[in-house]
Amino acid sequence: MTLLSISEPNSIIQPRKKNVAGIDLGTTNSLIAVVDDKPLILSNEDDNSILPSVVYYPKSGDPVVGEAAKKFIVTEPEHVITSVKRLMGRGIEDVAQIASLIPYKIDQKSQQGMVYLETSQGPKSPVQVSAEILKVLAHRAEVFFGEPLEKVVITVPAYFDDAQRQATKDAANLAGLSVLRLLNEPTAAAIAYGLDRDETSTIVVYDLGGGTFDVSVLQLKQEVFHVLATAGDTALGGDDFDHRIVEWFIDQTGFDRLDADNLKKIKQIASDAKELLTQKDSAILAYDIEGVQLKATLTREIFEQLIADYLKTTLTICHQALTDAELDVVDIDHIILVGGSTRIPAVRSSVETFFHKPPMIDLDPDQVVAQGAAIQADILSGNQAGNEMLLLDVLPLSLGIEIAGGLVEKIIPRNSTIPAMRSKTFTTSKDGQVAIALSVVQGERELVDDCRALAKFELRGIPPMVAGAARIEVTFQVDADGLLTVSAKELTSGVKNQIVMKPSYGLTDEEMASMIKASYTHAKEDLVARKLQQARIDAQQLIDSLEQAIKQDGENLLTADELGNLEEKMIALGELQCSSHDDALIMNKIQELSQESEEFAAKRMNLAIRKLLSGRSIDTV
Amino acid sequence: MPNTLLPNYFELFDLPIQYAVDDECLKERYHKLQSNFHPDRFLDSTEQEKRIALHYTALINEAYTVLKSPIKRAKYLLELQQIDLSEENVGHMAPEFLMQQMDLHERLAMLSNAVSQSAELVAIDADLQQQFSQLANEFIECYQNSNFLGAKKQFEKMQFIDKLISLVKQKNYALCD
Repeated sequence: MTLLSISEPNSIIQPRKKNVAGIDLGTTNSLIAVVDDKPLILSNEDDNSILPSVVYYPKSGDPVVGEAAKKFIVTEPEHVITSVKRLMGRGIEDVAQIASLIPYKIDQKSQQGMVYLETSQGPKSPVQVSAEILKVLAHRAEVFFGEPLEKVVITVPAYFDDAQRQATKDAANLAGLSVLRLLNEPTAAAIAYGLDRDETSTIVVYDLGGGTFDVSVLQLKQEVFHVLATAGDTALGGDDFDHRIVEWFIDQTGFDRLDADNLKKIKQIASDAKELLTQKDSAILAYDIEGVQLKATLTREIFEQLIADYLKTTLTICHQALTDAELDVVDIDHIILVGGSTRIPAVRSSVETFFHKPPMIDLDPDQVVAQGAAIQADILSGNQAGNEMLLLDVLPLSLGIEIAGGLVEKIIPRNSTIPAMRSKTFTTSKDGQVAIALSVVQGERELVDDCRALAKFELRGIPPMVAGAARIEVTFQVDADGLLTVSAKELTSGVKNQIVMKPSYGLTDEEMASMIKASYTHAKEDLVARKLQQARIDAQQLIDSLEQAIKQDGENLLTADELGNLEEKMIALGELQCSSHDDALIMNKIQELSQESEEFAAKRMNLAIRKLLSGRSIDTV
Repeated sequence: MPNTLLPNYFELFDLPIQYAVDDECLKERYHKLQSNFHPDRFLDSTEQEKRIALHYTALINEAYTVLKSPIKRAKYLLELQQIDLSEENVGHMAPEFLMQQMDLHERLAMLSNAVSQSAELVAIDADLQQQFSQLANEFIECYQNSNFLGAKKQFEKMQFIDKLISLVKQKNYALCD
């Protein structure tokens, strides 16, 4: 880490090992893992490591999560929420498509935009429900560390779009967790396998979970995991297999007067039968209703027929990922299986047939994602000194903007390595126009209606000019979590535009803020004190890092005037930071000093890059 | 960040400004740059350093995408010489070239999705690859002699061929399905 000296002036002090964990927030089950010499999945008091992603809302008191909540599916199915991951970042019209799979009620509150679920404690968003699951997991880590959990890596399906990722991050924030990184599940699995880094290898990760299917193609070379392509279906998984069994069962028994509650119970029986079939050749399904017993025997052969088209779909998606990565089946060295649904023998054999190679199954497919997340958390937090592993992941779905005629103009294409940044210039169509509206979409289709609407933006504060004269540069930036931010600038005047963002399926910043506030157990003063403390830390950190930078490169890269100006501002910020109690003012001055030193920082970066690469050529000569 | 401060893609990778690029060397430098400047290496840094790391990493990614793709690299080389590539006119293209391309288009369109056609597809692909490298050689020659308008003409033809090559890929994909 060549540049560490810039950023960590106190790096002489041996850092304390940080309390970090990796979380697999799954459709059916969730897990948390830490690295304690090696990855370790944490269990609860009853020694259960798997936490079913099930939340029960009693009429009063705290929500019940996990195995305990599952018990209420029998007695109070209407108050139990399962598979909530399928609703993350989703709108009411998406839910209609999977309504038969989710036998709980959608609250009236959800009209446009985010879905709310009806519970006995009022409407709850999927973000809130997921936060309950995360809190229970975090508690396990706190018991393990005997101290608060500092940071987490949370995994998401590689094919999650921006809204789904944002919803996941919101859930973590709501649960009071600080997110180091959102990590794609297949990538996490590849890390967990810890393949030999000395040779270059190409890996396919086939991840079939409860509700999602993902495939990623990665290349591992020395320390770098480079994801070449990813593809998937966020609504294909074991849930769908269960559903097929339910349909088959109804068909076999001829009993079709089943309400939502009964369906939910039968779905559980179907799921149990599916699990049994991984070991046995047949399973008996029996259900008592209205004094009769419905009964049918499901053989493995019938089950395989029931899911055959789903398996074919997964292989088509594998093919697509290979094509995008510009590779053939023969180029693949390893196939890793992830997700509970890969225990199904038919899944394994179809993967083996497709790739002409047996998949690796050394690690438990239910645990491998959480293990990989824990390793990544450990590396990112600096706990593994000397481990220089780097992950380069990709954007799963193209990002674009709506143009005239309901068409999409792609700004960042899918499978671009992230972080990514692209700009596009727009103009006004009317004289004196001071605002323009833009709609951001994600997806591969050409029509806006066929893509997912992410947000609508309104750019305001454009200086009035004749039509076509303004040049508004809109910049899309995707960070290492795969999350998008959009900024805009009018180029002729240099005016930065205010952006008013309305997420299509997420919580607005205000909603998030009020939810977090409501969940805070701390007094208000506590919150204020914390913000001030953070501002002071940030100010000091900026000053320290600049001092260090000036010491190294000030003479080289700054004129005497520039240096004097910077030092003056640094002293001013230092004084303000000590004397002021106004966190907003301090943050404001930090911003100013950052801006002021931006050019210096960029020049240092250029210098560092030159040094790095010229160092390389000398090394190799 | 002021754009004028940003290095061009070739400078960023410490490579000479030319069409020929060694893929392995490019990849190695890419990994080296990413290993040092990725935002993951700046998690404990100031907001400013994080922002700049993000900005540069995005630039490194974009540069790598352009430099490793022959067609994008050719386009970028012309852009560096301020050659205007906005107008899409085929008017000045040689009729023989256009005829040849239309012919290939037709051959491709005629192919059904039957596996038996894959030999024909391989033949077309080989033909296209050969044409592309020939054009690329002419591009290099023009560019080296600072004949940028000549290079532009070659580039426009390369674009045609490149589109056909991706059509072949799509066909190939449909075939295997």
